[in-house]
Amino acid sequence: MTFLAILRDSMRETLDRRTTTVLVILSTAFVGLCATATFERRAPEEVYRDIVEDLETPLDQTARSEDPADDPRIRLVSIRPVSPDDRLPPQLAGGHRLLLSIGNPVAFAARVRACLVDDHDPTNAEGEDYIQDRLIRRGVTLPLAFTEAASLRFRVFAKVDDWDCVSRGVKVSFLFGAVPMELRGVSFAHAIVRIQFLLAAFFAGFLGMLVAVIVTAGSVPEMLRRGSADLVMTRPLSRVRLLLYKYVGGLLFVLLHATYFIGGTWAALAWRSGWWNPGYLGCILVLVGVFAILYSVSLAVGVVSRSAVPPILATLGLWFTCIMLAFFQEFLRSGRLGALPEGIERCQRLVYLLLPKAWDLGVSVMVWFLAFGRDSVVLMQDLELDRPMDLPLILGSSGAFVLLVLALACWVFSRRDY
Amino acid sequence: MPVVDVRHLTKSFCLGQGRRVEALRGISLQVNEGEIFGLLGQNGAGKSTLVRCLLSLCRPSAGEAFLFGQPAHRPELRRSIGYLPEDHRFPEHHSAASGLLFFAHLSGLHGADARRRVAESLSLVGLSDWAGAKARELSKGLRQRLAFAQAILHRPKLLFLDEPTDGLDPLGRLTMREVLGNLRAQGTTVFLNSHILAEVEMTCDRVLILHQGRALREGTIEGLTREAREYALAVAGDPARAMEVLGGKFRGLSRADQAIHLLVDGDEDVDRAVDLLRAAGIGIRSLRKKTLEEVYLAAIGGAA
Repeated sequence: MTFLAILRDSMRETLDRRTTTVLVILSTAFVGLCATATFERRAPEEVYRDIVEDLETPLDQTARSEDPADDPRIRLVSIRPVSPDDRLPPQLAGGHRLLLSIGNPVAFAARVRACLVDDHDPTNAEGEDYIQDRLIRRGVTLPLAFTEAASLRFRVFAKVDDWDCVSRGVKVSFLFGAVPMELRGVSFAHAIVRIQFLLAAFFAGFLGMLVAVIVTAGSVPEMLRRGSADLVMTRPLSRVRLLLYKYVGGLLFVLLHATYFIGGTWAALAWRSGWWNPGYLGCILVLVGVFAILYSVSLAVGVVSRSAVPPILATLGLWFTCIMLAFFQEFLRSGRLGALPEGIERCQRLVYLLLPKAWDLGVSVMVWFLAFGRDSVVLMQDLELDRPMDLPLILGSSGAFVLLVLALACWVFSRRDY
Repeated sequence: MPVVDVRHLTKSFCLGQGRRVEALRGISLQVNEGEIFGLLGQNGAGKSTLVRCLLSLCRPSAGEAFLFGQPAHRPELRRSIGYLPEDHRFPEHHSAASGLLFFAHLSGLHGADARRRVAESLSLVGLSDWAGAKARELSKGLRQRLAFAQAILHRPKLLFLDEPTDGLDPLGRLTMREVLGNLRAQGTTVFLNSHILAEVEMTCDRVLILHQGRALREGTIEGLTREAREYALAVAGDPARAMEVLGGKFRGLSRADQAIHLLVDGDEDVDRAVDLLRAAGIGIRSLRKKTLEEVYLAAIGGAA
């Protein structure tokens, strides 16, 4: 009952500031925008044409090159539905026959060679495997490629089992088709997931989180102001409980907003697209998790400083540090930074280990949730976020950090004079 | 068992750069059930600090404090304690009624009982018509009444009031005195801090005079003023003549403007002084015993 009273008080406080009203209006606007989204499935011929066009665009960063001479220039010469004359296995019935031409065989061979385990000139079969692999990664279920060596062409028999998962299978637009959205190389499912990722990671996870940090930062200092503290802290409630109730109240504030925003946009997108991606709802937990990290610092600094500005600065400082460390860690992993002195690397690893993983939680775990029931590796490659995720480390170090900071805040709070 | 039992309580604050101030220096006191106990002292004497230590808002540097026979820091004790702070800040996002309901819930009251107590408290302090008004919309006096309502809404057995009449108009002060009288009749113990000595004199059973963190005098109002044995006489005509008539016959005699201050050994000396003046044909316009304020000023002056 006491907890509910504090929770209601916190909600009343935010309502009084009109913050909640503004956030609800903004969330409603986003839900409304999602409700105007249109997902138009495209004809197979159009999709195959665009897929082949996209084959020039490497999926992995390491193979990307700016040099036009490296461009293998694969072109779709012709496309038709498979016929009984093709004498294909029954699994390919209902598929398509594609004729692809190679514009630059040297560049194509170099591209294939880069994918081989040992360095040798690729055989025709390896070239066919390369084409098949690229098509599979774009959602084509059963591609069979045959070389027509004399004409530098490939005959490809392809079939798609799930058109929702094939690259460029959908045209996305907003405001009932008035504002088209260009999503190259993206399947129907990935288009929705990309929109959901934008909503959850940027609008809710960054902008919304920023607002939440600022709005909640003043809550504890306000409670601890002389005169306010006198009225609240002379009640039959221990200081530790009071502070923890405030903390949970802050988390519930974010939980309610996140549920409204994510739940609303989820329902709107699902209604318009017909795909009810349950993983998107997992982003609510991620948002609350990230806020739990940030708010613990805000609360602790608020207890010490008794002012609203230091908690905001400290929280944003921690958030920025987490992001920088995550990027630094990624650059080290991918070798983009080159060799660093052992001391610096060891120091970075230690700091990364000790600090919470607000960025990893907010992005990697969010993508993991978004790819619920689908191949998260392909999705993360699509979003260019394909890096290893150590879930136990992310949750363990973040949880330990939050517990430590809260314990410290409670210890200071229970010993201070007011 | 005393309701409030303070033993050698000391509190020092660090002012930074190694400087410390001793706010309380070994204070001991006891307040019994149903008493209205007044704490007097100049600004900075340590009155509020003592109350804050009793309410665990401050941690004592040394000494012990017990409420209802238990260590004062126990949170569950505060279910029986009400507190009206001097510089209170009633949450401005609440209306008078919703704010009181919030404090009622924090004090362990629930449901219909909490709502009934809120209505009763508002009525008791004359704020029923303002129940829906936001705290920030209330005048200083009305906010003071509201803060008093939050202190009494859970019917505490022990009530700490820090400058309770601050900002109240005479009618408000009268209402406050009436409520305090009713609380005393119900057995509530009241611990009162006030600068308004007349208020304390009218309300309190016992007082403690604090000065620079030390207890100077403690006793009942009657005891302290009787102990002084000093009377102020206002005479008709020339006070110099009255001085001549009374001169050398009493323990002490002094003059301040039209008033003559008479220090006596007993009540019979007062009768004798009146008889002497009447026999000399000098009219007496007023005769009053020394007030608590004069006792207080004398105590503070003596300590200084």
